[in-house]
Amino acid sequence: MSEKRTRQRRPTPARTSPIRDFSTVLHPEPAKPTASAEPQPEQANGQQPRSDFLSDTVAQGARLGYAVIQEQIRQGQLIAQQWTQGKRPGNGFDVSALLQRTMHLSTDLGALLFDVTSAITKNGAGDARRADGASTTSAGVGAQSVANVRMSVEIEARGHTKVMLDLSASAIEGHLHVPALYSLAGDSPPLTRIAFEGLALRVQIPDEQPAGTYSGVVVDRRTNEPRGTLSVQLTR
Amino acid sequence: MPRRKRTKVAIIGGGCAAITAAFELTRPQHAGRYDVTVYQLGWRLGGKGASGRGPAGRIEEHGLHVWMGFYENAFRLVRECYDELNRDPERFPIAHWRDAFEPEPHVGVADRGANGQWVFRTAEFPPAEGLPGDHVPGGRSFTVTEYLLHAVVLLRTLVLDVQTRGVTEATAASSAGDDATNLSRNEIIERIRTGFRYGVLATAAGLTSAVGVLGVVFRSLSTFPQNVVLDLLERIAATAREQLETLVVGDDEIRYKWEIIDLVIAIMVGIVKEGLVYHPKGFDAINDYECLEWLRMNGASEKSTKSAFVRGLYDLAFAYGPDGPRPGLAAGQAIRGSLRMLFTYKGAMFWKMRVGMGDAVFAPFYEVLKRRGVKFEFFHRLENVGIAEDNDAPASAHVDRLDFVVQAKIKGGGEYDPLVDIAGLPSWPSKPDFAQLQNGAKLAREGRDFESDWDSTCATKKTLKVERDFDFVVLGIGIGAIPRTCAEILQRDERWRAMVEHVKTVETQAFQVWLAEPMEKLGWGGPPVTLSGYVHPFNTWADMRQTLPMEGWPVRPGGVAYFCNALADDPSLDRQHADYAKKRSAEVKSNAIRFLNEDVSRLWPGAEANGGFRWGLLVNADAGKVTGVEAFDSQLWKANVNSSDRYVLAAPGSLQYRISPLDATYDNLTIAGDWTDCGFNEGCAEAAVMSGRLAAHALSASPPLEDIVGYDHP
Repeated sequence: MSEKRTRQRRPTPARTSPIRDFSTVLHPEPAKPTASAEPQPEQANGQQPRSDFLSDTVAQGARLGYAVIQEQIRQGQLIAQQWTQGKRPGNGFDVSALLQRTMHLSTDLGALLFDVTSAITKNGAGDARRADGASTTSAGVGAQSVANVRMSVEIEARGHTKVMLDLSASAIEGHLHVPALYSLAGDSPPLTRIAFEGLALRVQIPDEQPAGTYSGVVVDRRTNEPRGTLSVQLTR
Repeated sequence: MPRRKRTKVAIIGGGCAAITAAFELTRPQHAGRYDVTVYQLGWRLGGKGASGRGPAGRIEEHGLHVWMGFYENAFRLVRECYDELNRDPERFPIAHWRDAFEPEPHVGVADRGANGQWVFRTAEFPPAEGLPGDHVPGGRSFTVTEYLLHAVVLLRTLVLDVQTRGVTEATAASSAGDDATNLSRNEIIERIRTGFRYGVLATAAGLTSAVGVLGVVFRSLSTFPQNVVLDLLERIAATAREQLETLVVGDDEIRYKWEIIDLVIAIMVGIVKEGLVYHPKGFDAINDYECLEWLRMNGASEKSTKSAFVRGLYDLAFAYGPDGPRPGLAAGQAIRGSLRMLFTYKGAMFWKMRVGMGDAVFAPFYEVLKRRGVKFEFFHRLENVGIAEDNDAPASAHVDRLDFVVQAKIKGGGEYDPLVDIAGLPSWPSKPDFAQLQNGAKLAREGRDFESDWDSTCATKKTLKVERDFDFVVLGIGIGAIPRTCAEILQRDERWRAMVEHVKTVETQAFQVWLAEPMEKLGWGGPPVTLSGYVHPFNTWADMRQTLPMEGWPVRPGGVAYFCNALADDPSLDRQHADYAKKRSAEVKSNAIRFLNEDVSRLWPGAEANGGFRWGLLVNADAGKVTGVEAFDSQLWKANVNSSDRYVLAAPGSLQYRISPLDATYDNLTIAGDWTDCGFNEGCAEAAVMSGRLAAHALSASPPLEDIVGYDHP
C-alpha cells in the first residue's frame, strides 16, 4: 500500500538575491564617500580636516606631475614637428638625452606622487605629526628616528629650513639616493646637492635658492625602487 | 519509531546546473533525505557540455570547453566528485581531477597590424597562488577596491614593459656607432619618430606611476571625496590619451599594449564615476549599458573598443554576431567577468580538459551519483510542466504534474547503462547504445537523433504527479525549451514571460579536425594556445593536442584543432521546418571548408597547398586516403541548434529579467541553469554550477549562500 503523502513546500528563503554592496563585508561601518569636495569646518584645534588635507596634497602633487609631464611632451612634440617641417634642431641636440630625461623625469614624478601620497595616507595620513615631521634649522644638525634607527640630518643653508623625511622600513637596508628635489612652484631650479652617507643625510642649499618647498623621491641606488620622500621647506 | 519520509526530487535535465543540484542534495550530510531522480533527454548527460566518443574513440564536443581559473564553484565540486570517486590510478588513466584538467597559461588573440595583416599574439599569464576550488577558510570576499588595486598594478606593468622595450631600442638606435650626418633625412626622421614614440610613451610610465597615486587613494577610498579621485583619474587619463594615442600608430606592439592601457583606465574612470565601489547593486548598476558603449562613455577610444583584446573577450562570450557587437554584453557583467578572469584566477588563467567534458566531468558525476542512489531516467523528453493553483493561497501555485515523452524503452525494464570504455576510461558514446533499447535495431536504422528538437520518437508517454511521484522539481533544462514545456507557467506569470522574451540565446557552430602533422610542422610555433578574435565564421581556435593520448587511434594523429563561433540566426530559414537542423549543419560544413581554404593558412602556413587547404592532412578514422575536399567528411562539425544547445547571452538590458533559483513563486519548483539569476549571469560552467547550488539551497537550505563563491559579489 502506498504511503499517504502531503504536499511539501520549499523552505522560505532568507533572501533571493546576492549582496552586491560589498562594503558591509569588509567594513562593518563603512565610511560613506563624500559626495562633493565642499569645504568642511575646521577642527577645534584649528587643524585642517583630514580629508581636505589629503585631497589638497594629492591634488597639488598631481598638478605638479601633470605640468612637468605635459612640458616634456610639449618639448618632444615641438622637436618632432620641427623635424617633419624640415627644420633641424640646433647643435648639441641629443635625441637620446631627451628621451632619457623624459623617462627619468616622468618616472620620478610618478613615483613622487605615488610615494608622497603613500606617505600621507599611511599611519593615518594628515595628522599633525606627519605635517610637522622632522625639522631642523639652518646649519643645525638634527636627528629623527626612522623605523627605530637613528638618522642624522645635516643642513647647510642660510635661511630657515625645515626638512621632512619619510622613509619606508625597507629604506634602512638600501643605498639611499635622492636625484633632486623639485619646487612645487615649478619655476625654481631643483636642489641637487643632497647626499645620503650611511645613515646621515646631508643637504646643501645654495644661497641664491628661492624660497619654497622642494620635494623628491628617495630611491635605492641599486634598484631604483622608491624608498621614501624628502621635502625641504625653505623660507627667507 | 515512524520512518522519516524522503523528499522526492525530480531533476529535469542533465547539464552542469542540474547535476550540481543532484550532487548537493545527495551529500552525506543530508542523510538520504532527498530521493533524487534525474530525467534526461536522450542517452547522455551534459547539456551544452555533453561530449561523445566517435570513430577511433575520438572526442567529439559540442564546441570548445575551457574552464577558467576563477571557476571556484565548478572546480570545487569536480574536486569533491573525484575525491569521492576514488579511482585507482593504476587502473584509470584519469583518476584525479588534476589528471582531467591541465593548466593552460597561454592566451592568444588575433590582431590586425598597421598594414592590415593578421598578427597572432600570445601572452603567458603567470601561475597564481593556489588551485581553483581550494577551500578558503571564512569564505572568499570580493571588493571593487581590490580590483582597482589589481588594475593599477596591471597598468604599471604594461607601461614598464613598453618602457623597457623603448629604452632598449632607443639606446640601440642612438648607439649604433653611425653619425647622424651619414643617414638620410628619412632615416633620421624615422629614428626620431621611433625614439620619440618610445620616449613619449615612456612618459606613460610617469602617468601610470601617477595612476599609482590612485593605488594609494584606492586603498583608503572612503576617506577621499569622490570628485577628487575622479579628477585625478580623468586628468591622467585625458593627458595620456591626448598625448599618446596618436603616437603609437605604426608600432603594433606598443599600440596593442596601449589599447589595453586605455581600456583599463576607462574601467577605472567608470568605476569611480558611477560610484560602483559602494553601489548597492555593484556592477549590476551598469547592466543596461552595452559594455563597449560604457567604455567609450568613460573615455576609451574607438580603436581600443575594437581592439584585439576586446574582440577576444567578446568571442569568448559569443557576444559578436557576424555584423558586429549585437546583441553585445551587459557592461556590469562583462566588467565583473573580465575582472574575475584577470585578477582572481588560481593556478592558471585557463584550464584545458584532457578528455571531452562529458568524460572529464559528467561521467565521474554520473558514477558518484549512482553510488549515492540517484536514479537516472534517460530518454525522457519533458513535454509539459503542469501548474495547479493553490486554493489556500490566492495567486500562489505549484507544479502539479510533469508530462514526458519516453523516447525509448530499455530492454528488460531496467536502467540504461550509458557509459562505454575507451582506453580504460568510462566515457560517453556519441550515439546511444541501441542494443539496450527496445526496437533498437529499427531506431538505429532510422537514424533517430534523440537530442534533436525535431525528433518525435515516442515509445510511450509518462506523467509524474506531485505527492505521488515527486515533491520538488528542479527545472534544469535550457531556457530555449521553456516556451515549449512551460506554457502553463507562461500563461499565468508575467515575470516568466518577460524572462523568456528578454534573455537571449544564440546558436553556435563548431568543427574539429584531426591532423596528420603536428602544429610546429604546420608553422604554428607558439604554445598550444586558445586563440580568439580571429575572423568570422570561426573566430576562436584551440590547439587541443593534449586530448590525443586519450583517444583510441591506432596511429596517433599529429594534432587536433577545435574551432567555434556563434551562428547567427538566418531569417530566411523556418526554424520549425523539419530540415532546419540539416540546413544549418550544411551551412556549418560549408563555413568550415571555406575557413580551412581561405583563413587557416595564416595560423598554419604549412597547411596550405595550391592556394587552399591541404586536405590530405586530415586524418580519417577509417584509414582511407582521401586528398580532396571530401576528406572533410570524415571530420566533425556541429550546428548547435537544439534548444538545449543554445548559448545563453548576457545582453544589455536583459539581466534584470532573469529569475533566481531562490525565487519561491512556485513553492515546490526551482530553476537551474546559466540562464537564471545566479549571481554571475553569463553563459558558462561556473554560472551553471552556481545556479545548481542555489537550486539546492532553495530546496534544502544547503549549501549556505555564503559558501557559493562569488554569489555575493559587487
